[in-house]
Amino acid sequence: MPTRSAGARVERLIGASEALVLAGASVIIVGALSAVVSRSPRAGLTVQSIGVVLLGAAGVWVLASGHAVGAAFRSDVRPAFGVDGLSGFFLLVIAVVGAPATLFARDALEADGRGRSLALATGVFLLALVGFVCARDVSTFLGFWELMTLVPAAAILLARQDREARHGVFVYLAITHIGGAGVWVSMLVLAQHGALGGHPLGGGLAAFVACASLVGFSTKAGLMPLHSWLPRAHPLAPAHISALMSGVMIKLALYGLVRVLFQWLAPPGLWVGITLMAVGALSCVGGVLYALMQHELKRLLAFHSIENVGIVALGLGASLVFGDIGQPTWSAIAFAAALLHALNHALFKGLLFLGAGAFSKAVGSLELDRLGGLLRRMPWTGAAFALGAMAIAGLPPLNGFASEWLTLQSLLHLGVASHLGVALAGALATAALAATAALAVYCFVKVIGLVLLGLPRRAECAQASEVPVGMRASMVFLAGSCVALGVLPGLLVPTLAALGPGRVTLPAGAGLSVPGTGSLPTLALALALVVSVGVLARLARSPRAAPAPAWVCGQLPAAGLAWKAAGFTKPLRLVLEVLFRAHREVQVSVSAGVVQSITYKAEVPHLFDTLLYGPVSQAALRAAGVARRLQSGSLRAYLIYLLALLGLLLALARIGVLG
Amino acid sequence: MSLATLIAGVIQVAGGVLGAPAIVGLIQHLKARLQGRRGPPVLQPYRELRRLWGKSGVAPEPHTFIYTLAPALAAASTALVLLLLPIGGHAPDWGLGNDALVLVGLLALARFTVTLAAWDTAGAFGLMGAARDLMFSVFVDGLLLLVLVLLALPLHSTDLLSMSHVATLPEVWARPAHWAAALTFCLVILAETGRQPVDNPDTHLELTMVHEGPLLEYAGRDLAYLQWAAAARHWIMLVLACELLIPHPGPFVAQLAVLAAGVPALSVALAVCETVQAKMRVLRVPLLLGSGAALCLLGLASWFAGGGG
Amino acid sequence: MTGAVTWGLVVSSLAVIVVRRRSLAIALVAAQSLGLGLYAIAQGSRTSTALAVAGTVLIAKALVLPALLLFTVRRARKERLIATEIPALGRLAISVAAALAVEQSIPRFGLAGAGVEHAAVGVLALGILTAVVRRAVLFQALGFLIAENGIYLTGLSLPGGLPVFIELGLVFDLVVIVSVAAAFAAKIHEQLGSGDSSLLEALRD
Repeated sequence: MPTRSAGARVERLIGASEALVLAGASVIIVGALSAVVSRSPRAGLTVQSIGVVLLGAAGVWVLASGHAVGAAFRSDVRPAFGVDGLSGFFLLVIAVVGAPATLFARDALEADGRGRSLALATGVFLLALVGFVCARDVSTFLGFWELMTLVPAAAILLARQDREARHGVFVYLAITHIGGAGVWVSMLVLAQHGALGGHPLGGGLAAFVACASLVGFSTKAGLMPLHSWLPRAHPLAPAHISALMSGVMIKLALYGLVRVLFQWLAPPGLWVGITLMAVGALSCVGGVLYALMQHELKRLLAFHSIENVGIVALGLGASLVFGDIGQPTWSAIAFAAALLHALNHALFKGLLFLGAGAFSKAVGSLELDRLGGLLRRMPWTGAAFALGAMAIAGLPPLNGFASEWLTLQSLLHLGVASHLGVALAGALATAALAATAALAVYCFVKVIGLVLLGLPRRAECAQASEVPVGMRASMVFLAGSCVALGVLPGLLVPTLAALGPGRVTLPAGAGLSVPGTGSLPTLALALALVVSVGVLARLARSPRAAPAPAWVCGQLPAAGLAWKAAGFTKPLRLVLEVLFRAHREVQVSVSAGVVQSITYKAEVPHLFDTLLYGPVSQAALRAAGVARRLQSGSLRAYLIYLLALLGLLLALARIGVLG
Repeated sequence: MSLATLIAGVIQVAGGVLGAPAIVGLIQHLKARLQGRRGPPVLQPYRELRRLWGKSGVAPEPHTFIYTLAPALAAASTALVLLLLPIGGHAPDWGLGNDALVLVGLLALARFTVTLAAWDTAGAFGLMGAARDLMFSVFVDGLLLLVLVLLALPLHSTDLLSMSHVATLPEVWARPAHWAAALTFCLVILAETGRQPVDNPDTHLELTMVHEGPLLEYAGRDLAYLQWAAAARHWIMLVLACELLIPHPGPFVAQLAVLAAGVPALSVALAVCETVQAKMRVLRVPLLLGSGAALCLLGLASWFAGGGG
Repeated sequence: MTGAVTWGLVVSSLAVIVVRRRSLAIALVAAQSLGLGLYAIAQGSRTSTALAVAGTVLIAKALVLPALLLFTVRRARKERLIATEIPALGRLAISVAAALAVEQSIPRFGLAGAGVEHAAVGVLALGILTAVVRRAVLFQALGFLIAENGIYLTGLSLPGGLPVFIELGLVFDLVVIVSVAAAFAAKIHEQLGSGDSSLLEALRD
């Protein structure tokens, strides 16, 4: 009797979560369509956010209960959808960024034709993301993969039609599709060999599929060296679409990688994990170094996305390596660290992009050197942005610290493993991640200082006003989630560890107590910090704090004397000159012996563009120029090609190579 | 809670809060003596703190709550680090764990707040020091993590208590990996405490300041917090060095004795090091730290060449 | 009978490659198509009416298309410059070599006899080669017609006959004609600004 009622309860639960998923998807569709039909997109966007929340709830339900709903993966080509633990987790990621983003868009989009089309594009994008996560066969997987790539491009072109946007979209689509061919190849091979249905692929073909999927998914995820589209495309999109792209879309590429490497391939060997770790470490350090050298806020945030995706890749690679050397406990912990960091990054990157959108709405241009003093003018937005910056810099007690701590612990325990090569890889990865964390602190001190603090450097900044309540509410919600996940990561980590390879039993609790470490009691730490800061601040407040101007050698503090972004990062740029190779140009115009003006231009070129993408595209254009001569326009030439091809095929058939 | 953990807890709090300025005072006094001067008395930093405590603070014109909260936050996070330190291989359970990486994170939080406050006052001098401080921290953090990897090798744990237990094992000291970690940690101490050749703590020229830079804008109790936090960093680094990187015997009392002798001895060593060396050019400090990283990697390789485990 | 037809096809195709005068080439192609059509009728009278109908269609095509081509040749008669074409012997050698190569590589695909198969494939190849080795535009159309004839021979020689080949070929011809006409109309419109044929009569002087 009890088993039957338990079984019936489980079935009812499964039925309920299926209903939630369907309800959520249909609500989003309704929202998208109504956004186009009605005069203002506000109602439609609200409906879309409700739909996304429903889907997130369904995802959490499936994740918590551990029962998959819908279809399982199948190898034949019949459209199928389903939600299991991993898909449920990524539905949660979509929801925690999608709901605030759509609420933000309510106030950010104008009530004209362009606003309505952008609202429709948002809805379709959300559906594409959800569809990709729930896809259960090759056709839906690849179909939604392509849709997921194309819709943001359409959204960018809807928002802006200038030359820069067109070029950016072109580069985005070109690189994503060329790299994404790897995804198509690997998925089709896997489907053909029945690997999706539960028979992991092994042997030499597995190595080929691993390579192809690494190239394909890491292009879309934005891992170096295939990342060049990310800093071009993300700044061009409207703020809420950027938040979804950076927060969710690149994580879903890693979701695909997880499916291929962890579920559909038999463990291919140590080299896959080490390669993933190497690519992750390169993306970490390279991403944050280039982010430091940027002077436009959105491009800087895009480079930070590259860095954080690198951290997730480090975690996944470590998990693979642990599985290969036979440490299932740490394999599960590293996997949980990677997933937790994916969620955390979605939260704080979404918050930062929405904040950038709010600033852009208030002041216009987002050149870092021409902002300043926004914390006093826009306290809510500024405080939320500062919290997001602290979270992404990995400072306790926020969520970035929790997931970076867990990832660092995994890498450190890889560094003490038994095999020298693996230990060296682990030690170097640990050092790289530690340096990355310090670089992120450096970068966000610069960002917060330039954007929020000091004197306003432009008239618009001095007169900026706070954004509407909807936008503020979405940012405050994301900031609150950052704090909540920072204080209570222990509630989520055991469930995440169960999703991956290996087995570990972690004690339940708010903090993270992992065997082999000194534990991270997040709740106690946060409380202790808050209490001690409160006590010390109260003690320090002396009654006679005299207001005084800041000392600038007797001058009045003027905005023109303030530090710029390039100046603050100069020590690092000089130390790492070998990597950056900045161009500097100083022009002094002298007239009648008196210096009239001095112009200074400095630029840090993107090394990957000059060394990798530039030569490759030049070679491709040259090859295309040579191939163009084949297209002579002469009918006779074409007939000769036809005959030659025919003769070749017949000869091959004669030899027996074909058929 | 046993007697040992009780004593350890008392020393954690009292030593950190009350004893830290004495280390700075001792170093200043010794440096002066070595340079042929009479120098300030050893207890001078206490007088300085008392004087600052009685003064009023300033509120520079364009400032936000970040300027007001930064010293309190820096002092609070440094104070929490005090509760993580192992003393004589024991530590009471304050509920904050004893993890080495949490220690690194809290110190990073303190550094973040202080350098951020430098932006808040629209003055330019603090930012010079802040930029260099952050640049050093990039390399120092990487180096510190490599040292922690080496320290975690024997027992596969980043718990500070088990790391201090490792230092009591004679077989660990028979291998070069731990010595490499000890040598590299000396570089880390120099960088974290801001002593020459990395940084000159006695300078009053804004153009040459590193750690001192952001402190320029503060006065009164805020400055007292920041000065105490700098002294507490000395205490933290020296206690870590004594606990984790000096071979010491097992019993609690013997470890306490080693600690009591080691911290002053290391202070003397710091004073001598500062007197003997000149300040290095800022851009060359990463090279110095890089050589430390190479030493660590050699130590790691030697551990596995010697048989791992 | 079959042998004569096939040999006739092959020889006339080779002749088209060699001859100089365009009207002669047109006449040869007309003769080819006529012969094929008569053969089809002869076959059809014995086996099926569909084949006979196809043969009639073929004869009609054999009369109409060459007439059109002759007409254009007459209208386009002008002083021609000495065109540096590949010499006749060279053309012959190339085409024979290529056609033989293709012919030998084709495996048997089920026609009535090996000889017919070789001939059909050879004529098809020779048709394409005509378009390749001869410079005048007319010969590209002629080569296409010859290739079609080769396909028709295949269709007629299948066991049981397959007249649908011929009808499909005719449909394809129509499509080509219509698309060429459309291209011309577009070009005229682009050059002269109007496609109205009554207005274009004014171009005649």
